[in-house]
Amino acid sequence: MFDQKTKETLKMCRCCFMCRHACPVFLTTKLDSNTPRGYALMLSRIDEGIVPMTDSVVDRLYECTQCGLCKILCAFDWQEDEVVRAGREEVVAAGRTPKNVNDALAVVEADYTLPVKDKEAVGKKNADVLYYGGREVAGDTELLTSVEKILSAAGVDYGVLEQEYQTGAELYELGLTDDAKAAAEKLAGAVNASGAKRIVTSCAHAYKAFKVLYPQFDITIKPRVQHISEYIGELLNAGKLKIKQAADKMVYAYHDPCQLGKGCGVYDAPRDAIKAVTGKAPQELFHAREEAECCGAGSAMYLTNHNLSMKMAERRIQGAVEDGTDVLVTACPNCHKIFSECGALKVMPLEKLVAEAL
Amino acid sequence: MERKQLCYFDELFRYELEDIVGKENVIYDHTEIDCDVVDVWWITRYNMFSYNDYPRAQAVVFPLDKHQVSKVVKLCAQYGVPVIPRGGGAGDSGGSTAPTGGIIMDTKKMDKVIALNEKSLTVRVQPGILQKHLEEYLNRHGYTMNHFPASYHTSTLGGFISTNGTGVLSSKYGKLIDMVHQLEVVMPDGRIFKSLPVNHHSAGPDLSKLFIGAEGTLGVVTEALIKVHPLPEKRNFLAYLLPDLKTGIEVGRQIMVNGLMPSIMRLYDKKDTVHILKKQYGLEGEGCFFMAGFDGKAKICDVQTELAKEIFDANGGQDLGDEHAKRWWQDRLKSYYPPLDYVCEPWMTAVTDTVAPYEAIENVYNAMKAAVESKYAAYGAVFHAHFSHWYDWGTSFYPTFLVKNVPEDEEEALRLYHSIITDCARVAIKNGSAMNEHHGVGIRFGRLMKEAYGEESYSVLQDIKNALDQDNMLNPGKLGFKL
Repeated sequence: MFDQKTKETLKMCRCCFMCRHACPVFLTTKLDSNTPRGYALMLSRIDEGIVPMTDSVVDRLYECTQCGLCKILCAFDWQEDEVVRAGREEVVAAGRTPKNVNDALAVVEADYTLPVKDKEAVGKKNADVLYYGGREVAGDTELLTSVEKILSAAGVDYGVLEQEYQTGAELYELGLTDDAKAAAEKLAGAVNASGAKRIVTSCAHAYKAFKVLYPQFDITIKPRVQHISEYIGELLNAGKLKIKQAADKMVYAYHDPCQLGKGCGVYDAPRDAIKAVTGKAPQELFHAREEAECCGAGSAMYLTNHNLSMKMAERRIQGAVEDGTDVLVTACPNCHKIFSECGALKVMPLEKLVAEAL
Repeated sequence: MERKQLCYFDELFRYELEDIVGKENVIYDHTEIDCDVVDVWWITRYNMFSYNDYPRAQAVVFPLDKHQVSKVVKLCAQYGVPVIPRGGGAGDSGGSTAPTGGIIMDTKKMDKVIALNEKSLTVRVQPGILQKHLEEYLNRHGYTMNHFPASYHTSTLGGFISTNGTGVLSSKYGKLIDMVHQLEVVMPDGRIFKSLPVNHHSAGPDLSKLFIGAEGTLGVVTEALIKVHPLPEKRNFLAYLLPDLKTGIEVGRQIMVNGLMPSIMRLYDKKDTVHILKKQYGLEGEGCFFMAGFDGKAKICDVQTELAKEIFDANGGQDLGDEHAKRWWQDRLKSYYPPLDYVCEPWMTAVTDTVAPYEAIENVYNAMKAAVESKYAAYGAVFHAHFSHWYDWGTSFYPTFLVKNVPEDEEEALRLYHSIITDCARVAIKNGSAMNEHHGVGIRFGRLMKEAYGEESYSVLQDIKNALDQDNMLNPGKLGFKL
């Protein structure tokens, strides 16, 4: 069933409990079948033909947000998240994609447009910057307005795609690898055809897709890829953005999005931007940087299992509140969306924090 | 339409369980139950990958507080359903498995820190908290429990209490029995017992100790008041190479009986020494490697370290500096990750830790080593050990036996395993040693408890079990109790 690398990981992880303490799904459900060991145990026995892949196992496989914390904390970097994804590939190949995942695909695969105010930016060719928002930004007027304000204030020559397409990252995580490649090729084609010199995105998943997944697929993105936090840093350093530092005494903390932080090693750019606005470095949450706990929205779980996703988000928010946070700043629209739904703490996307300080 | 075999009582039991803890906290899902079948005991791991139909619980239940625990226990007594309390489930003796069926009572949703008392240095905690999370909470307030076992990431406070666990700093801070001030326990009949607020008193026997090491057979721990310490000002490390094991044990004894209060004390036998020196530190050397550490107030640490060095030097020790011990402390959990940890392999392995007074411990080590390596030479059995929990009256050693070429015949394999375990335990018993230091006995050694205590003395323990658990429904068959 599985390739040699997956089999090796299954063997290593199936009787090992060492990352249980950190898995954000386990910490929410307390089920051992929601731990990396649990997944490895189930899949190992299925792979060896001892037990069948039941519907219950399939459901569990889609309760992992692919945050990657297990492999970050593993002393030997066993790629447990990849094992879950390999399990999902088997589910898809067997035609057993569960209904909740199929329902989510309808949302994930839908094309959309970014409702920017500057209509001249739509479909603009050869701009300096192509801004890629992602599905969640398309639905977040406040965030998108903040981005436009920042780009305009800095005098950036920017454009957006006439129609945005998904990156394919979610399809890949959900086990639809071939469909993911096709989606990636489609988007890459549109991005490369734009002629932009760089592509800037607010979406952490898109950023990781362009930087990590597309090279894995042998797909080239011609423009230079930057996360919006990195681009804001560049604009600030070049003196193109003038900031009025906030005079409030609020405690700002920063939540590291999994795909931006653990996935791509971007930890400092968002923090530097927060410091530029607030005058001081954000307070570190107890579990931060590579040890940050997932918001719960990863791997499309916001769509496939909203209840579980919300519980994970509430847990993260509670931790932030216990750490004395007044405002939680995010650098991923998925994190921002689900944290905002919790309602227990003021949550602000980085773009809005910067835009309001201009 | 699939035909089901109905049992009215099974359905009623499930309905009443869900009524107590909520539907979402009663799991009949086999994916969860199958995870709970396997702990670190080799037998469960061996069976997990066979085509046999292994024993399993009928459900996993997550109570949220002591009242729910009490109601569930009473309900199970009424229906004749065994209750197997479980924390992390990472024990190595089958202690939280359900070989006779029943329900797993998983305590991990009872994981709150209730109160920290900074004046008396205690913390009141629920049993389902993972040790790492408790330690993180304490660290944020400037404190520590100083309990750092191998299962620090994986296991719960309740599990450590139930097995009277030990961590790598136990030579100074003790076992769980030394750390527990007070326990709250739900009895097999559902009564809620609470011991007195302090454990040093003369108001009758301290009954909290009855449950420490009882592995959930006499009651379910629902709350504990635990001793904590300020984070240390300083931590000193030292490492020496000593000529042989005998000298190493004597050095350790002198350090302990002279009241130097080391926190880290780790002496490795020759086999382990070669492995550590060469593979981990790239050093060549013959002898026995000994690491020690002192923590607390800086001035006190420095004096203790100085005095310890005098003892090492006087016994022919070669000073290896502090770097190796510091590195060990930083990476001390690394050897519990695969591929360094044997649990990932199908090899037959077990730890048969034991503890004895100083006059006996070397004999126990030599006899156990001989028993494994000579009697089971045909199977290529390997034995290595380190000494890591020291007292002023004796020490323990942590031996691992390993058989890589597991017999293909299932009956032969199981017989071999049980035989090695029995031989190791009997060596301990015969030489004045306790047959387990900190893992608990569960099923693995439980059948040898009568031998360890003697029939008459063991009958006292069985009488206590009979009196407290008349229906024998709390973790039956563990600790050698009747099924």
